[in-house]
Amino acid sequence: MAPPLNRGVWVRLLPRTLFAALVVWTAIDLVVAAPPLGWAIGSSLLIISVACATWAARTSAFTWNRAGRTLLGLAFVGERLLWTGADPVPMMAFIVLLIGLGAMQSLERVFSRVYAAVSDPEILPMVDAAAFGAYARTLGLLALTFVVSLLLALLVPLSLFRSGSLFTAVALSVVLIALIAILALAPSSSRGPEA
Amino acid sequence: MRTSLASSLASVAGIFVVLALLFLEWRLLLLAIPPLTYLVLAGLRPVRAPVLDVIREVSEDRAPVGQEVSVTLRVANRGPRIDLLELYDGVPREFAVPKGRPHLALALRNGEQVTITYTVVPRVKGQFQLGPVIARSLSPSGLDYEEAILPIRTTINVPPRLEDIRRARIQPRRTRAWVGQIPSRLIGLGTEFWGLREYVPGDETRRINWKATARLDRLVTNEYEGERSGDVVIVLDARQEAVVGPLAASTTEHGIRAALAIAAKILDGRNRVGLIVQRNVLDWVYPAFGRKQLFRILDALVRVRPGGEWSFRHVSWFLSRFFPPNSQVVLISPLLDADALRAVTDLAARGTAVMIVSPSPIEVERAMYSEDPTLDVAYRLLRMERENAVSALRRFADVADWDPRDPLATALRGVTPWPRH
Repeated sequence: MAPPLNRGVWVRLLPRTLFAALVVWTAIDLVVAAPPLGWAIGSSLLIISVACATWAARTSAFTWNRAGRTLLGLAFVGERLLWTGADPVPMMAFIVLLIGLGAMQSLERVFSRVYAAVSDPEILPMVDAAAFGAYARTLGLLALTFVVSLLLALLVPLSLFRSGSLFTAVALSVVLIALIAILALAPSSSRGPEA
Repeated sequence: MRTSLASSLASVAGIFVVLALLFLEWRLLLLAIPPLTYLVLAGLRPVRAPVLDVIREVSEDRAPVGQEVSVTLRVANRGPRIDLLELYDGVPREFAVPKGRPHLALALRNGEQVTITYTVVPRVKGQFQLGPVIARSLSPSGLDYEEAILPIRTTINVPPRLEDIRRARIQPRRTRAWVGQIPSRLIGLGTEFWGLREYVPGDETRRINWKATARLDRLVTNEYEGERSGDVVIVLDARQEAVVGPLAASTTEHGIRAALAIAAKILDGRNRVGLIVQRNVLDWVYPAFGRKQLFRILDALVRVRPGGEWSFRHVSWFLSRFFPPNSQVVLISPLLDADALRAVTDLAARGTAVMIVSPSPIEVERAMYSEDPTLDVAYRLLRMERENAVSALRRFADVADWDPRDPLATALRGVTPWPRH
């Protein structure tokens, strides 16, 4: 059985590797496509984003992760829309990975503290089961999200949007905003707390 | 319950939709699809609130400051399997947790049980509660959780450390009719020889002084100095104004230690002891004898938290109305304000015997900034000022100027024994 320190490293490794990969992806896009001004703005956003993530990792102030993710997303989407071109598939992939980063950072916050303190051989397997299951389900959900998003992109009549009819565009937007409101505001469908 | 990540995703999707509408750009609308899909897919399998049986056991429910208390939390899952359960046990911030953690994340099958063990060390005295236990069933998507707050609380009483002042000479200046241990300068029941007198019928045979009887050729009886007891009221200054230093090593905490030690010492001498604590309210314990009274005083002291601005005038009024007249007053105060100094003068003017035990605020601050040599001059000036104040008070009262880093017995050694009345 691996000592708790190694387990703590493992639960940190996945989100940090993912963050590093997304930063590298954005940086490559900037270098390849952006003009000097874009390069300057984008790289500044990336540097601040990395600084936020580093600060969060060093001080365990995990709220800084949110700022890091936001800046990273802003740099990527901005660069794609302005210079590289809004190719939907890589942008959707990037957004799915960014969502996954958020989920994994919340798991990292939970498990890094737990692994730092738990050394009881009876409890460790239960913690391992929870950590492994949580990361596996998150990765599975991300893969499913990407696939379903691609299918939806093909199925949803977005061409209506392209047709230039303002009424159609507004109607479609209202439907989507209503869906967002329901998803964001509706309470969870499970039972209430029980003791 | 939704997390902030869910709100963020919904916001991002909304922003993309609004931007798409503004610029009539269909590709922006595509970007709203992944967050929406994630929200929908994660919502298909909602988490359930945990159904748990929790029992907490502690090794001690009364532990002095600095003593380790082992806490065991037994958690059993009575509901369906929980894939990711996060457990927190509420530990007061006045406790350190040197071993283990009151926090765990794990998976629990139906009927499975887990035992969490950790150790807490109280850093200050007081009455504290462990709990409640917070159990959260988390969704791995990070979008929602269900929480159950289990109202299981365990009270731990943390009494202040009892100073050893057995050798200190503290006793009430004025005595009452009850038998005690204080020589009263009156003939009565006691063990100290006082004088001789003619035998009168009814005298105990064992009191007859046979040598004097033989010398004088008539029956002579020994007389003894009566030993009586007295009343002492301890007044503890726990006002906000009297707090100097961090809570665990503040003048109030040292004052509480002194109050407990003095109460124990005086009660041991078969005297009555009462207590007034000056804080947000005036807490008081009426004078009484014995060990039960010591526990009453201890309970009152354990609950003391500094605060409030009660004037000493109220204490003087309270003493004169509700406490036995001629009680000895032991004032425990850092003597930081003029009100405290005036109070001593007023009490002395009314004929009340006053003793002052003053945990030195200067020494408390000195201990905090001991590594700063630039403060030496300020320290010396403040020290002189305090010595002047203490010298002025010594005209009215016995004053023990106590450096809390030293044992209390050392400070009390400097106090002259009270003349008996």
